[in-house]
Parts: sequence; structure tokens; C-alpha cells
Amino acid sequence: MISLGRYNLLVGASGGNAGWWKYLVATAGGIGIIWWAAIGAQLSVPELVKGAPWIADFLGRMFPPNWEFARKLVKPAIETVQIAVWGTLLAIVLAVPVCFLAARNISPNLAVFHFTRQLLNMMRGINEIILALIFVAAVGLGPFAGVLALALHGAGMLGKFFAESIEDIDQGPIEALRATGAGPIQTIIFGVLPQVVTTWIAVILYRFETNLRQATVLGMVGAGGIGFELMGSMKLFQYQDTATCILVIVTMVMTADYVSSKLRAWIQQGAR
Amino acid sequence: MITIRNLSKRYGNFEALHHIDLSVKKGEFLVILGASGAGKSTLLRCINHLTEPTTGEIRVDGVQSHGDRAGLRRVRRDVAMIFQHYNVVPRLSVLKNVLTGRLSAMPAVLSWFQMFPHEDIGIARESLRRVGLEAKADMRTDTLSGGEKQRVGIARALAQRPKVILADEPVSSLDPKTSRSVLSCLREASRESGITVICNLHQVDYAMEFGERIIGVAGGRVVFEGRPDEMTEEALHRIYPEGVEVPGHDEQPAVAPHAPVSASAATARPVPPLLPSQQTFALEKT
Repeated sequence: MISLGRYNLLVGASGGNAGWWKYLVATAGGIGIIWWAAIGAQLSVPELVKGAPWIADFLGRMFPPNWEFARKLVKPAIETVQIAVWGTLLAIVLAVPVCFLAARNISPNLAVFHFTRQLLNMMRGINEIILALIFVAAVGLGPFAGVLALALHGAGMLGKFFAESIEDIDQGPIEALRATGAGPIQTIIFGVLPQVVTTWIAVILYRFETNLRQATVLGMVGAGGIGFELMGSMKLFQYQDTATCILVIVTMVMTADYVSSKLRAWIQQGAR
Repeated sequence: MITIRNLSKRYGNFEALHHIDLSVKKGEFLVILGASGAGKSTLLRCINHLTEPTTGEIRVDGVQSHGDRAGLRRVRRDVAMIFQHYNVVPRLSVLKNVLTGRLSAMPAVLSWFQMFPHEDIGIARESLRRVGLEAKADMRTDTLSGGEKQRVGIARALAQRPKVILADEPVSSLDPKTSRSVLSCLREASRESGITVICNLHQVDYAMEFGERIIGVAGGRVVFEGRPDEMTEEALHRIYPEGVEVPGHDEQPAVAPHAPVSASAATARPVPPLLPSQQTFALEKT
């Protein structure tokens, strides 16, 4: 304990033979890694200062937003929502059959459990934009490629969350159902689903929110939605149109956030 | 109805059951009495294959079933189970919980879509009537009290139209008054339909009151077998080498002061005067 005027410095005593030296080494190591990463990422305060006028210029060109352009955005905005809806739906359809196999307590055996978990990890590991690039190559430009990209990545996410919520349920009713001679699917429908349904709905709403946010940028790789207009306006140096795009996107995302958080709160309240 | 020959169950080096031989007659209300960890649960769970025995032979109604799928379904259709923690599905309605007892007997695909035969719904309602819960059929099960949930558990077991009901510590989570009514409910049901009941208990006084025959289990062995009036102090010492347990003492600290009484009260007499749970019962009424 070190006394500093009216204050005491309270830090845990150091254990072991190395004393405080090990903390010194750890701190030096930590700073080293951060420094190394900064060099690689070319962090540069002078560049930021030098670029500030350009950023100001860019923002200046965006102002005022071109409200006329908003009318042309209605259709792409709606398309974005439609992509998010189907991306989420297909993700659910893909995730539900897999999640039971990927839950340790329901899975028929350990091999199936590990295989499905790894499968979900792989689906989740690839970013939506990369998936969209692949699907654009496969099914052509347009929103359907975006839907498939969101579905595959989302299935990985939902499958994992669904499986984890299944692992958290009370095992008692499951055992009771097995003891009545009920089949495996009957056990899932009457024992598992009633226990996880509210968690699942909350997870799905959250996924829809994320998908809507992702759908706004899918257009950048030609996979439909409002992102296409955003890229187009920037390529044509129509920065006032770009500003309108950004405002519409922000409004959509905020609305989705608000609605889904309200819905989730409402469901969780009902779940008592 | 049930014949068990030379049943043993090992978990690694721990021998949970040691060469158990047991036979139970049709319609009998058999109590298995023993301390926690004596092997009562394992014995019960072996009968309907929730646990696979290491060695030994179990016949239910003359049929020996094996751990394969068809064997499991056959034995589990005839043998219903009641659990200490009720194990009802909280978010389902009371009626649907009872209907889950019929699942093995109805067309599986229709049941996935919540379509139930009239006949099975009739059986479920009749079972609810027998446990006195017909008025609560449409309520969500998690709104019920502990005693009511266990009645739902009994109704679910009855809905199976079983030959045997296995009850694993059915009243351990309940207060004495509710415990008695739940056990009476189980006894009535078994008498009405001639169902064989094997009931695990750790409370001596309930075993004396409800058991037609008592099997005492300690350390995975049968150490007593006989009618309640054949129970002796010496037998009780064999069943409880560490002393007699006070029923529900962990949930109800108020009973704890009676603990010394129970050791002397739970002696050789057929019906011991004022065992701890009865005392609590009396206190409640005043």
C-alpha cells in the first residue's frame, strides 16, 4: 500500500519469485504488440491532419442532401427489407434441423455433435460480403445472391445460438418424455421447443436487425438493395445523392433496431 | 408383475446396486426406503431403462426388454414414471402435459402438428379428473403450485394406462400436508386401476403409512423386506446406518429442533407416535 497524500494506492500484492518484474515484462510486451500493429496499419496523425481539409471538402459537397433523389431510393430501400426478410427466413429454415444435432444434450452422438458444430462455424466464419461475391458469380447480379449470402451466414449464427439455448434447458421434462416412450421428434416438439421458443424469437429478431444492416451494403458487390445506389452515386461524384442514401440507410437501421428491441422486450416480459 | 434377478449396476469403481433380487405382485404398492445415495433411484431407473444395468435380468409382466429401440418403447409404454422435480413442461398447458403421456400410443406425425385423437384427449381429461385438476386443464403448467405440478405428473403417468408406475421420491420437494395428499392420490389411483406402484421414499413415516410392503435399501443392497408392521428398530438401523433422516429438514429449518426426537420415535412400533413430519402437520393445523 502506497500513501499519496489523502489517498492510498490499493493494488494487489505481487506473488511468486519474479515479483513485479513479470508485470513489467507483460506491459512491455503488450505495448510492443500495439506498436507493431500500428506500424503495419500505417497509423499516422500527420496524415489525418493533412487529410482533414479533404474530409471537410467531401462533407461540404454532400451538403445539402439531394431530397429529390430520395424518391428514387424508395424501391431499393424496399428491396433491402425484402432481402433481409428472406435472408432471415432461409437462415431459420437451414438452422432449425441442424441445431438439434449441434446441441450436446440432444445430439445422438458426439461425432454428429462435433461435425455439425464445425459446419456451423464454417458457415459463420465467412463474411456476408464474400459470400455475396460468390453467389453473384453463381446466380448472377441481383438481390437473390444477397438473400443466399445472408441465409448461409445467418444459418451459421442462428444454428449456434439455437443449439446453445437448447443446451440451457431443464433436462427433467426431456427425461420424463423419453420415459413415456415418446419418439425423438415428439420429445423435441413437446419437451424442447416450448422451453426455447421465446429465446429463439429474440435471437431471430436480432438476426433480422443485423441482416437489414448487412443488406444495405450488399449492393456494393452487386447483390441488390440500396447499397448499389450508394456506390453508383459515389462513382458518379453525386455526393449530394450519396448523402441522401446514407440518411435513408441510417433511418432504416435505426427503425429496425427500435422495433426489434421493443418486440424483444415485449416477448421477454411475456416469458416470465 | 416385476421380477428382478441378480441386478447390479456399477459406475466405474462405485457399485450402486449389488445383486438385487426383487419381485413385485400386480397391484402392489411397494415402498423402497433408504437414505439418499442408497441406490433407490438407480434401481427404479433400471426398470424402465433410463439407466442400463451392468448385469442382471428385469422382467416386466413376464417380458424381458433390452436396450434397443423397440424394447425401450415397449417397456416404457407399460411403465410410467413420476419424478421428484415433477419434470412437467412449464410452458405447455396442463392438458397437453398430460397428453404427452399418450404420445407413444398415438400417430406420431399427427402429434407433431398438435393433432390428438378424441380418445386420447378423453383419457387425458379422465386422468386429470382422477387427480382433481380437471378445472385447471387449460392453465399453463408453470402457474401451478408444487403439489399441483406433481398431480399433473401423476395424471401424465395415469394417462399412459401403465401396468406399473415408478415414483422416484415423488414428495421430496413438497411440504408434509401436500406430501400426504399427493401420496394418497397415487395410492387411490393404483387401487382403482390395479396399477403396481414402486415408490422411492426416504421418509420412514410415509413409508409406514403408505407402503403395503417395504424394501429397505442401504449401500446398494436390500437390507430389509417386509410389511410395515414388521419394521423393527434394528431394521431401521440397517436401512439408516447414519441415523434416521428428518423429512424435509433441508427445506424447513423450523423442523430441525425435532431431530433428536425422531431418532427415538422412529423405533420398532408399527405406527410410530408423532414423527417429525406429523408434528409439523399438527403444528400447521393449529
